[in-house]
Amino acid sequence: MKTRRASLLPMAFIGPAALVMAAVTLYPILYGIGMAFTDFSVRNLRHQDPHFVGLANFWAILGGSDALGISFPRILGFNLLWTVVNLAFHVSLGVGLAMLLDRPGLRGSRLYRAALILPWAVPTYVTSLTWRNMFDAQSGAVNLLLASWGIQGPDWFAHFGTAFAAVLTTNIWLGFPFMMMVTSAGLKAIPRETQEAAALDGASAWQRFRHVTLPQLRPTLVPAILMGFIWTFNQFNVLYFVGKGEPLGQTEILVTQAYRFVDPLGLYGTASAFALIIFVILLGFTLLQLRLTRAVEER
Amino acid sequence: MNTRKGGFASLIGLLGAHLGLAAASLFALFPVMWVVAMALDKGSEAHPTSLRLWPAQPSLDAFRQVLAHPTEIEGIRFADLALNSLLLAGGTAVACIALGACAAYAFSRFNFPGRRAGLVGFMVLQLFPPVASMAPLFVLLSSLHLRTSLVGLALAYASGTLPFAIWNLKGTFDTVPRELEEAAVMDGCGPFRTFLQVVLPLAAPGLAVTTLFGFMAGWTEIVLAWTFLEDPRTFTLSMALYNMVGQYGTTRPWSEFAALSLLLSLPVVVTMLLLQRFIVSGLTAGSVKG
Amino acid sequence: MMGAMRKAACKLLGIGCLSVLLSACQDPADPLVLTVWHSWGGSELEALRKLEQAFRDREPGIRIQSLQIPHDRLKDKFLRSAAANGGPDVLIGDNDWAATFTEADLLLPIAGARDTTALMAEQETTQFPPSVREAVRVGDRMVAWPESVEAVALYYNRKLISRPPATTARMFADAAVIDRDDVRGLVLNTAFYFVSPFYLGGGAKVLDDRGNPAIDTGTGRRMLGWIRDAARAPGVLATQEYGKPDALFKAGKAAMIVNGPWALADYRSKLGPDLGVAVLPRLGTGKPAAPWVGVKCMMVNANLPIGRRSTTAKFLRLVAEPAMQRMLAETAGHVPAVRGVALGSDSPLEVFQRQITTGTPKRVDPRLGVVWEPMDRAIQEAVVHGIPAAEALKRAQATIVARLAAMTAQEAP
Repeated sequence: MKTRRASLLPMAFIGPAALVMAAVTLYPILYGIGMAFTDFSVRNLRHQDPHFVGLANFWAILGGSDALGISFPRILGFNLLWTVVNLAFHVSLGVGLAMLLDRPGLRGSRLYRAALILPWAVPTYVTSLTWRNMFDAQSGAVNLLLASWGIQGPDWFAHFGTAFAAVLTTNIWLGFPFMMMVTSAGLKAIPRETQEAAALDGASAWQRFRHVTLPQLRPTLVPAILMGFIWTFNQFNVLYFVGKGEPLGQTEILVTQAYRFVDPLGLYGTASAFALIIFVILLGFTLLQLRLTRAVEER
Repeated sequence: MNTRKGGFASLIGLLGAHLGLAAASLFALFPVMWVVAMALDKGSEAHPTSLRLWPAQPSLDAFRQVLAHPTEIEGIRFADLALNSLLLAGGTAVACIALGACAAYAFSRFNFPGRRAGLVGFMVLQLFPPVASMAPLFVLLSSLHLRTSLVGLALAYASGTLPFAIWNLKGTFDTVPRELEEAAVMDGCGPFRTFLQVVLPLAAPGLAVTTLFGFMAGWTEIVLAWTFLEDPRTFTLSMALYNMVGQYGTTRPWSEFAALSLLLSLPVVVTMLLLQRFIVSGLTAGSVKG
Repeated sequence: MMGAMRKAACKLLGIGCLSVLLSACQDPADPLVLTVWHSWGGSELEALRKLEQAFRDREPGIRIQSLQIPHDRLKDKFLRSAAANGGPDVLIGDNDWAATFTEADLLLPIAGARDTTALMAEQETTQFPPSVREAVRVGDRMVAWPESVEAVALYYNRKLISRPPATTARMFADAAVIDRDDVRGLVLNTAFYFVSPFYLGGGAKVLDDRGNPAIDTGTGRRMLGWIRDAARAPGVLATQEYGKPDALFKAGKAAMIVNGPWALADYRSKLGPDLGVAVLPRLGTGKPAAPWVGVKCMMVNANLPIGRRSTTAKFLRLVAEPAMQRMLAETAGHVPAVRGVALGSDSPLEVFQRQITTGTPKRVDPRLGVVWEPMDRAIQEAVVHGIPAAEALKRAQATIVARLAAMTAQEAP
C-alpha cells in the first residue's frame, strides 16, 4: 500500500505537465514524424491520405536533389559555423563583462548592468527588423555611421562574408546578456577569499582568472552553454528576418530552410523529414553534452 | 611602495573596466537609441540619408497615433490589444509555472522509476523544430475548438516553455534544504501543502525567472498568433506590430512602427530591470545543477 | 501570494471559457454574416469600406465582417483554416493563389459549364473580357471572381524628368543624366515579376506552348544579359527588395520606377501633380514591353454553407457592377476587370489599361508557381554575383524541371 502511494504521488505532480506536453507537443511531433515518410503536400491538407514514400524525402534532402535545390552538407556546415562562432562571442563577451562588473570598487555597475541587459528584454522580432534596417546599404544606421567616419559601407547582404558579419552582429547583440547574467550569478557564488589568497600568492590577473575563477564558473557555464547551443542552432528569427538567406541562400540554416519548404513551396513531407534530421542532430549533441556535464559534475 | 604600485595598477584596471563597460553599453544601446529617435521624428521616412540620433523636430505624434489607431481594424482599441496581450502572456506564464513547478518538484524530490527518462524526455521534446508539427497542432486545436481562442494559444506557448521551466525550477528546488520539508511533514502537513507553503516561497527567484520567460514568450510571439486567431477581439499588440510591416500597400510611417515597438518592449524591459536581482539568483540555481 | 495566484488563474480560466463560448456561439450557418479576409490597407481599405456600405444599403439584414491580415500570412492562413473546415466565406487575393487552393480543393467554383455545384451561371461571367476570364480559369471552371486587373507600368517624377522615355535606350540615357548625389535616375526592383516586361517583351519565355519549361534558351540568355546590364547601368539602383525603390520614389529621390497600380494612390498622395504614369518604354527592337497581367479576385471558400450561397453571389455581383468598379478605380486605383468602364483619357489608370493590352496573362497554373523563385535567383546570380547568364539559366531550368517532375509524380496515383 505504501509503495503504491509513493509511486502515485510523483505521477500526480507530473501528470498535468505530461498531459499537456503529450497533447500539444508530443502528438503533433509524432504526426510530423509520420509525415516525413510521405509525399504530404498542399493537396493532402484537406483530404489527408498522402502516399507512403519510404525514405525518399531523406534521400532527396541528403543527396541534394535538383527539385529542392539545396546542398545539405553546406547548410549543416554553415549552421555549425554560425552556432560555434556565436557561442564563442556570447561566452567571451558575457564572461568578460561579468568580470568587469564584478570588479570591487566599480561605481555605476547598476547603470551598466541595466544598459547591458536591454538587448535581452527587447522582443526578438523588433530586434530583427531593427537590425535588418540598420544594415540597409543606403540608409541603414551602420553605413551612415561609417559614412560619417569617411568609410564607404558595403552592401551587407550581397556577399556571404558581410552578410555573415551582419547576422552575427545581430545575434551577438541578442545573446551576450544571457551569458553575462549567468556568469554574474556564478561569480556571486564564488567566495572572494580564494581570489584574494591567489593574489597574495603573486598570481597575475590572468592566472587568477584562468586557474581560480574559471574552474569555479564551469558548473554554471556548462549548462548555460548547452542551452545556448540549442537556442543558437535553431535561431529562426534572426536568420529569417535579418539574413533572409541572402545572398543566394548562403545564410540559410536548417530550421529556416525547413520553413521555406512549407512556405512557399508547400512540401510538408520534405519539411517534416528535414525537421526529423535536425532533431536527430540536436539529440546527438545533447546526449554528448549531457555526458560532458556529468563528467564536469563528477570532477 | 608595494601598495602604491598596487593602487596605481588597480586605478588603471578600474579605468579599463569603465572603458570596456561603456563601449559594450554603447553597443547595447545604439539600436535602441536609433528606434527611439525614429519614434520621436515627426517627418520620419523609412529610408533616411543621414544618421540622426536625435530628431530635428521631436514630437510624440507617432505615439499618439499608435495609441489612437493601433491597427486599421475598426473598433479595436489599444487597450483591447494590450489586455489580450496581458491575458495571453499572463495565461502562458501561469500555465507554465503551475504545470512546471509541480513536475519540477517531483523530479527534484521523489525517486521513482523512469525519473531520469522522464526528465530527459521533457528536454528532448523541445529539440524537435516546430516546422513540421505546426500542421497537426492546427488540426488538433481546431477539433478541440480551442484554436481561435487565447486559451489554445496560451497552451501551445506554455508547452513550448515547459521544458525550460522544469529544468530551471528543478535546479531551484534542488537548492531548497530538505530539512524544512521534513519539519513540515512532522507537523502534519501533506505533500501538497508542504510543496505550496514551504517549498514554493523559498524558490521565489527561480519562480520569478520562469514566470518572466513564460510571460515573454506569450507577449512577443507572432507567427502562431497570426496563423491561429481569427477574431479581432482576441488580437494582441504584437500582432498589431506585425500587421504594420506585413502589409504591402501600407501607408503607415516608420515612426509609428518604432513607437509601437517601444510600447511593446517597455513592460518587458521594466519588469526585467525590476527583477534583475531575482534573475541573477534565479539563473544560478538553475544552472548549478543541470 | 498563492491566493492571488489562484485567483488570477481562476479569472483566466473564466475568461478562457468565455472566449470559447464566444467563438462557439457564432452559428456557422448564420446567413446574416458574411466573412471576408483580405490584406487591404490604406486607400484599398477605404474602398472596401465603401463596398461594404453599398452592400449594406442594398441588403440591410446582412453584415459583412471583414478581417485584415498581413499580406505575407494571408495565403498560408487561408490554406490551413479552410483545410481544417474553417476560414472565411470570401478571400480577396491574387489569382495565382487559386492554383494552390484548387490543388488543395479549397475553392467553390464560381462557374462551370458542366459543374452543378458552381455558385453562378456561366453566362454571368461574360461581363469580363476573355483575357481576364482566361486568367481565373482552371480547365473549364472559373475558380475566382475578378475584381481588378494589374500589370506594372512606368511611374515618373515630373520634377526630375519632363517626358517619359519611349524606348529603353532613352530610359537609361535619361537615368544616367538625372542621377546625382542622393537622387537616382531609375530604381529597379529586379525580382523576376518586375523585370519580366522586358524579359518577356524581348521574346524570352518561361513555359513553351505545351507548358514545358523553356528557360535556358538563346533568347533567355540574351535577355538575362540585358537585365544584368540594365541593373548595372549608371543612374540605376537595382535591388530585389520591394520596399527600398518604393520608398526612394515616394521621397522624390528617384526619377523613375517600375510598379503596379496598387502603388498609385500612395504615390499620388506623396508626389501630387509631379506624378506621371506612362506605358513602359519599347525595347530596342521596337517590341512593346510585356508585363505579367494578374487579376485581383474574390475566391469563395469550399466550406461555404448552403445558406450563405446566395448572399455571397450577391456580394460578388455587386463588386463587378460598373458603379463599384469605378469607385474601386477612383478610391483605390484598381484597374477595372469588367468591360466598358471608361475612365477618361486623363486618368493614370487608363495608362494601365493600355499597358495590359501588350501584357502576358498570369494564368492559374501550378506550373507557373514553381518558376518565380528559381528565376529570382538566376537574376540575382547574374546581377550581383556576375555568374554567366547561361550558367544561371541552366541551373534555373534544372530546378524547375525537377520540381515539375516531382509535382507530376505526386499527381499520378
